[in-house]
Amino acid sequence: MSASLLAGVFCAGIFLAGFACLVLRRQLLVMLMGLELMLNAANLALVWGAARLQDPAGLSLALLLLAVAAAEAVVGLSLILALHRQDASSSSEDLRRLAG
Amino acid sequence: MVLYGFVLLGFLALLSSLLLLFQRSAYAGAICLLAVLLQAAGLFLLLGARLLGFLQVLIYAGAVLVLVVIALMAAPPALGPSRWAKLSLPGWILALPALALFLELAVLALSATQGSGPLPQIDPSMERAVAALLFGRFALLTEAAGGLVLLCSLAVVLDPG
Repeated sequence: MSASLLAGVFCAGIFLAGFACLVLRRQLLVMLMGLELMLNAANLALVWGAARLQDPAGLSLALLLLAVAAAEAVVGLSLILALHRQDASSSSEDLRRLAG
Repeated sequence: MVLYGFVLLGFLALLSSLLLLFQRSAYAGAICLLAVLLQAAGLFLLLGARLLGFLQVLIYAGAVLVLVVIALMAAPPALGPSRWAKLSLPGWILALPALALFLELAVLALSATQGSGPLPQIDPSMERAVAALLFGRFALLTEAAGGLVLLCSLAVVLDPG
């Protein structure tokens, strides 16, 4: 039971650190890294659950989450690069206007 | 021994993720992220998820980190502000909560390594069940994830900006 608690603390700690990165930091790249941390913590919790319950569904969902995280990283980084090409900004404070 | 390795890697992953939060430089943050990703891959391997650990190194620590480094080189962000310099408290007072958290985690880790049984392991034969799930009950989800990856790659390639 204690190992489960410790694994939960690790997952929650990494998730909270990623969430804090997303909320507190202003550099867009670091915010994206925080999002990756959160997804990684979710993956870790899924694998721990799969190992503990001997349930293949957790591993399947972790694999799918890996694909979604990779797609999210590609789109996020290309958006940051496109934004940098437009007005050489990489801070979330400069994003005050939405335009289609 | 596996349980000790799990505790050590988990500690290091948590520490690296906290370091990422407090780094001012995005370059140093990318190194911290790489450390977290590699330690998570080690945790997956210790839990018996060999395929996922391999994919974690290949996709996350390989491909995604290369993309992050390319983005850092192409669009170097300015150095972030130091939020801690504005505080008038001495440094040792600020370090007290971190020390309390570390002690709490150390006590928890000690009780985990002494009080509990062996670390749960994923049965190697479960990989066949994972494949059956991905192309059976979760086939729609698998197709959706594949479509999402295809859509994202098309969006990046066809981006006119």
